[in-house]
Amino acid sequence: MRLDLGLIHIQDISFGRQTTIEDRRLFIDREELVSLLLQEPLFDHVDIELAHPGESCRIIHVLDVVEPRYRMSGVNFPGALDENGLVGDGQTRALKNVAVIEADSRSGRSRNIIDMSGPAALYSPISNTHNVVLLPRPKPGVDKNDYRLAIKKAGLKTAAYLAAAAKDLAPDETEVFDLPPAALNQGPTELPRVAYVFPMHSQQHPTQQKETVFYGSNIQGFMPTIVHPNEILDGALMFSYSAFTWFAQNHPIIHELYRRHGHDLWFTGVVLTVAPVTVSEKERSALLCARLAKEVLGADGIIATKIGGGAVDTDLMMIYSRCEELGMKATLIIMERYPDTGITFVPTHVNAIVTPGLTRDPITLPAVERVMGGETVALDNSNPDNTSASISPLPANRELRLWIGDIVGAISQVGVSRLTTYMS
Amino acid sequence: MKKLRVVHYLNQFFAQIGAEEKGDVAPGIKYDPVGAGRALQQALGDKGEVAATVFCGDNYFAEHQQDAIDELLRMLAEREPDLLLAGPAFASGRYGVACGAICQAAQQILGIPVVTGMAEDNVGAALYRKSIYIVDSGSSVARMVQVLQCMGALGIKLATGESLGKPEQEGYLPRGIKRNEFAARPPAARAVDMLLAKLHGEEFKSEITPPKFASGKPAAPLRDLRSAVIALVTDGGLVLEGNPERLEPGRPTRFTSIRIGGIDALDPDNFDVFHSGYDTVFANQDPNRLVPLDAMRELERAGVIGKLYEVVHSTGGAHAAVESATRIGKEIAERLKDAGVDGVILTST
Repeated sequence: MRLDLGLIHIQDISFGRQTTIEDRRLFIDREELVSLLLQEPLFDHVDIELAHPGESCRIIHVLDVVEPRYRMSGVNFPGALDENGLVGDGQTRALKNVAVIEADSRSGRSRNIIDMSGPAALYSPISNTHNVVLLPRPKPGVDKNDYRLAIKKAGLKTAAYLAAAAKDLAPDETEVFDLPPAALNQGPTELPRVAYVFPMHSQQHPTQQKETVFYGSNIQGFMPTIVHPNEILDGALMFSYSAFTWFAQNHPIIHELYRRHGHDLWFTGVVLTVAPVTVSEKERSALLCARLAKEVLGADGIIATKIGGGAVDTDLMMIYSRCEELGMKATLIIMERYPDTGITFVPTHVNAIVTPGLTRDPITLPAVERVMGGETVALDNSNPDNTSASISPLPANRELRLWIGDIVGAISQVGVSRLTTYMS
Repeated sequence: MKKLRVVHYLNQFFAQIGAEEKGDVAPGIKYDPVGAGRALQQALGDKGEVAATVFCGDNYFAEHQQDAIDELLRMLAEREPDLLLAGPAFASGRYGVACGAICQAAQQILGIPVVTGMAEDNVGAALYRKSIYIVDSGSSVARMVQVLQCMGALGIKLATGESLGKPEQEGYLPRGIKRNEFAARPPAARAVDMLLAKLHGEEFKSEITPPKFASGKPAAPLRDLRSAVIALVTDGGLVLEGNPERLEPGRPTRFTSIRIGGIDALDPDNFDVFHSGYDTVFANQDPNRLVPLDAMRELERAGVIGKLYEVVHSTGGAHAAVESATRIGKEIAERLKDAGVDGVILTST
């Protein structure tokens, strides 16, 4: 299955009389986009603002980040935005250097922060994109979770709407993602066959009934499954929490395995799964992940990453162990939280882990001129300079001392990160 | 730049008082570099001046640790040093402990930077490497000059606020504190590199290593449950209503002891469940789901167990540091052992 991702390298964005792209400048018809988003009955009104790299601007309460994408034929974000359908093949347009950000003070975490300049911009790719910031407000009495899901849908809708402006343009560059059916996916024998095993969610934080995670499914009861990597890149997956849609669309592991496919390895495919809650379910899931990687994808080695808290470390360790027991080699990526705690659930035989960084590392963000997504940042006793139990929220435009893990895009569990750690 | 005032700590041997027979010599001070201190002065060059040498016999220090520290701190404070360097102690255990203890005290009480040196397997390194910088001296005294150069360079950096490099660059023993740094290649590329090295049988180095757990021997099974005193312990975050002791819901450093004498079941009006690692809704609806007091009372009444111990020990287990968890476990176990408890039921989440 082949996906041609046609990249349009956008150099600037501004509001204009109609939504169009000219000379790599994206113009957005604000009224048209607002009226499109107000089709959502839960919204009272919607503001849209723009944030550019280098500006003294801070976006808080970030709920999701989406790269503008438009599929030339067929559905966009099936199950979540459009009706059921398939993605990962054919032609898709992508607006590079642009991100749709959803922010609202009534949902999301106030400390999910994007600074468009200053030290935070060194860490996050999302500080270096031109950002279209959606600020929807709910009608009175709207359920908090329904509202959250409606905002996420608005982000997908905007992403498809903006990239549709590129449908008649020749891409600046085309990235080809092409992998045959598993049964036919044979490379030269000297190249090791590598699969990616991906618990995309942890049910320690159960998904809502109406939540749309994979092809619009709430993934409750999801069993380990072979999926084509292109599906993750092309809009089948949006995370429930702890990660942003942009990370799936630009998935670092899938990109890296494609980049090296045919050079020093042979990419055999993806096992997608969900980290369950009970030990018995975790054991079954790990066994099946290993079985699929070995006997269906024919992998010699696997890379596994997770989404979620420390509980999912146990799933990764089980996946690692079951895979190695079947004769495969395994490598994990696990984010670190505390400087002095380490990763607790590491059996002594697990000898290959990469870290994308330590989240509880303090960073000072300077005061900014403009804030979007709310007025205050709620602190708690986990913040670097605070030890008391309850702390009143701080004005969001002032200097803030936070954790690097509070910066959207600085450290992600799927490997969006410029960092590693060392023992000092 | 102002010349740094450096004080050097040595034991009786290196301070040229005498060998083992002088081990009980009390703290003293000389107003010059002594012995190896002269090599230290050379290593410091024009950046620092060895303003005094303080010393103490290893036996004296071991037998009167607090007195020795107090006396040495008093002598140190008089000299108003910018930096304390101690040793190196190489493989000598008592000397290593003395170096570590005086450095830690000076850092804490006088607020000055400190550096010592010793072999990684010196008992002093195990005791103090987390709180102070210890240069890895190895065990051979032949490396004296190199080790002093390394200690001096590190001390100057600490005293002038210059940022430190990694342990292997600066020569100090890793303290167990992780720090971020920008990487040359992104995590995905490093993960693929690591996997391919593994597949090709080449060398690779994990960026995260397993924690070291204390090993314990399981107790023998209880022979007679009907006469046994059984205790309930949980890491699921059971607390009294309102959490008056402010037990941490995650990253625990403490535990709480809840008296359950005369109570038949945990009433949700009197107990709460605080824990940052799982959905506590069901445990808060009925805390007996977390700590099965109701079921244990039935077993007690039916004579299946001898007696239920009258205190439940509880902590919040999410993201516990291995060290804290080990200490909490030890303290709870000691209390239960002292109280004559025969068996424990641990309910986790």
